[in-house]
Amino acid sequence: MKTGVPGKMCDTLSTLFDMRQDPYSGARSLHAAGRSILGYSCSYVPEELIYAAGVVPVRILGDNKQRVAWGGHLQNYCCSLSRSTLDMALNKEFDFVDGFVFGHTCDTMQRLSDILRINAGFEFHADLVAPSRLNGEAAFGYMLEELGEFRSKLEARYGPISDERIVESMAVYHENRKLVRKLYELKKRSPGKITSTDLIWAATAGYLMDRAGHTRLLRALLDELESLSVTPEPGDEKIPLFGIGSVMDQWEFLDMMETAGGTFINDDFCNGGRYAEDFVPGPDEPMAALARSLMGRASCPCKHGGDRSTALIDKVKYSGAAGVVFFLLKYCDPHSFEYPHLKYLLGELGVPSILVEIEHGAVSMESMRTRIEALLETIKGLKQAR
Amino acid sequence: MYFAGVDIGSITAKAVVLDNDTILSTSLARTGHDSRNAGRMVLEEALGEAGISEEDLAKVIATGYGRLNVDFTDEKVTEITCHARGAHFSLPDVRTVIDLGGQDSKGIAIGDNGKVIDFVMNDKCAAGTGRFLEVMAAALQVDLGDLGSISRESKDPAPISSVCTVFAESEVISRVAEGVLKTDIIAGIHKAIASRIFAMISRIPVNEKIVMTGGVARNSGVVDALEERFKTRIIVPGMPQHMGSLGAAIIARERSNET
Repeated sequence: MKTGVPGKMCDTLSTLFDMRQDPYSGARSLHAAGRSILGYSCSYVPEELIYAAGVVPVRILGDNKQRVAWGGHLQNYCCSLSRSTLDMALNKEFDFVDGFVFGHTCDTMQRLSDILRINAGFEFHADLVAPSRLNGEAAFGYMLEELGEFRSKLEARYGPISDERIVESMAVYHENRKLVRKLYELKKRSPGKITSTDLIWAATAGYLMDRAGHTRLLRALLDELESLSVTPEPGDEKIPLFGIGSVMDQWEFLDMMETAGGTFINDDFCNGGRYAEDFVPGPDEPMAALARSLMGRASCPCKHGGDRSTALIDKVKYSGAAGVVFFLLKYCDPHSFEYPHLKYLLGELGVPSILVEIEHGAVSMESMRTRIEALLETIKGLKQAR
Repeated sequence: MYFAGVDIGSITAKAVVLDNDTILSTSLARTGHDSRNAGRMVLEEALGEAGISEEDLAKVIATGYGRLNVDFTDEKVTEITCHARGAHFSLPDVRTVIDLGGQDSKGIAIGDNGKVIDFVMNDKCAAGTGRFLEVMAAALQVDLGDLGSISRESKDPAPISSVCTVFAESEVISRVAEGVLKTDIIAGIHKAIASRIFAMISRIPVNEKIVMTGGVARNSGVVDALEERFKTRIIVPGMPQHMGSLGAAIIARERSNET
C-alpha cells in the first residue's frame, strides 16, 4: 500500500478527516443533544474538572477566515489565535458554549479573557490562575487553592462534583493521553502508516468532542493502523522532522510538508505530542492528584519550573528527527523568546532547523514551501557530506 | 555536456547555461505577470546566446519563487540551495551568503562543499529587499540604479528608525519635508537595511568571508552599509543576480553526473 495519503489510510481516518472540515460540528451536536459545553483556551485549564462536572470542555482553535471584528478590542501585535477567538465570540459563532475558561498563560490570553468576558456576554466565565512556577510545594498549594475555587465556581453553575467523579474523569483523560502516546509510538515505528496531518488532527479531535468518545475513536484507529501492511515504495520514505510550537492547526501546511517529503515524527505542539506527555501522580486525594498531574506534565514556555529546553532537546534526540520546524504563531511571545536558545542548542547538536511564522487568515503557503523544501535539501546535503 | 539553471524571481528571471565548468551564457528579464513565460524566455535567450538548442541540454533545473509553475525543467530546487552553490562556485572560500532579492532577504551559512548548513529568511516584511528600495526610490524620485552612488555623497546619514516599507516611506517623506538632504536620506535608508539584515543574519553562524548575491548587491550604498555593520568586507561577485541560476545549473550538472 502506498504511504502518506491524509485521511485515506483507514476508515477511522476518513471519519476524522470529515470532522476536520467543520471542527466544532461535534460540539454543536452535543449541545443540541442537551450537553453543557465550556470553551477553554489552553493546556493549563483542567479539562478533568470540567468533565467531572458533567460538562464537555472544548478547546478553541483558530480558523483561517478573514476576520475584522477583533480590531476594536485587540492590538495588531496580538496573535491571530487570540484575534480569531475573540472575533468568533463577538460574531456569536460559539452559540454552543455556556461560557469560557481561561488559563493564566501569556499576556495576550490573560487580557483576552477580560476582553471576551466584557464584550461577548456569555453566562459563565472563569479564570484559573495556574502558578507561573510549576514546581515546589508553594506552587502546589497555590494550584490546589485555585483548583478548589474553580471547582466551587463550576458547582455553583452545574451542581455538586463528587470526588468519585473527579477520579473517574481523571482516569478518562489519563487513558486518552495514553492512547495518543501510543499513536505517536506507532508513528515512530511505522511512519508511513499515518501522516503528520492525520496524527496531529487525531490528537486534536479529542479537544472538540466528548473525551470518552475520542478514546473509542483512538482505539479503533490504533487497531486499524496496527493491522495495516505498509511497505514504502522506493523514494516514498519521508524525512523525519520534529515540530515545535503552541497550537498546530494548519492542516494545509502539514499536507504541503508531507508532499514536499517531510513528516513530523514527533512534536511539542500543545494539541499534539506535548498533550500526550501525561503525568500520572501516585495515590493522593483527588484534587491534590489533579494539581500534581497538571504541574507534572511537559511545560509550555509560559511557565517556569523544570528544564524545558533540556527536556525538549532530549525529546528531539530520542525522536530520531533529522531536522526541526519551529512553527510559531506570529507575535507569540513565549515561544519566540525561547526560539533563539533552542535553535542554538539544536545547532550544537548538528540538527538543522527553520522558523515558520504564521497568522491565521493570512497564510502564504508558497513561502512556507520554500522554507520546508530548503530544510529538506539541507538535511539531504548534510547526510551526503557525512 | 550542457546544463542550464533558470531562476524565476519576483522581479527578474535569470538563466545560465553551463558547458561543464564554463559559463557559456546568461540572460535576464523582468518577470512581469507571467512567471512561466518569463522563465521560458530567459532560457531561450541564454540558449540562443550559447548557440545551442534545448535538446542539447543534459539537464535543466528551475529555482526561485516561480520554480513550481514551469514545466520545461527536469527538477526544481529552492533558491536557498542554489544561491549557496552559485556563490561557492564563484568564491569557494566564502561561508556566508547574504541574498537580497526582489521580495526576499536571506542569510545562508554554507559548508566546505558549498552545501547549506543553516539559513534564515525574512517573513512577509519587504524591508531590505529590492521592492523596499523601489518604493524608496519612487518616494525620493530618483532612479533605482542611482541610489548607491547618491548615498556615497552623504556626509551625515539621516536616522531612519523604521524598517517597515510602509512606515519607512512615511518617515522618508517626513525627512524630505524637514529639508534633510536626499543624499543623507538615502544613506540613512541603506543603514536601516543593513541593521535589519544584520539582526536577521545573527541567527545563523556568520563567517567573516561574506558574499552578497541578488539584485540589491548592485546597490553599492547597501554594500557599504553592510560592510560597516558587519565590520568586514562584503564580496560582490561579477553577476550577483545570477548566483541562483548559476547554482541551479551547477546542481543540474552534479545530478546529471550522478545518474
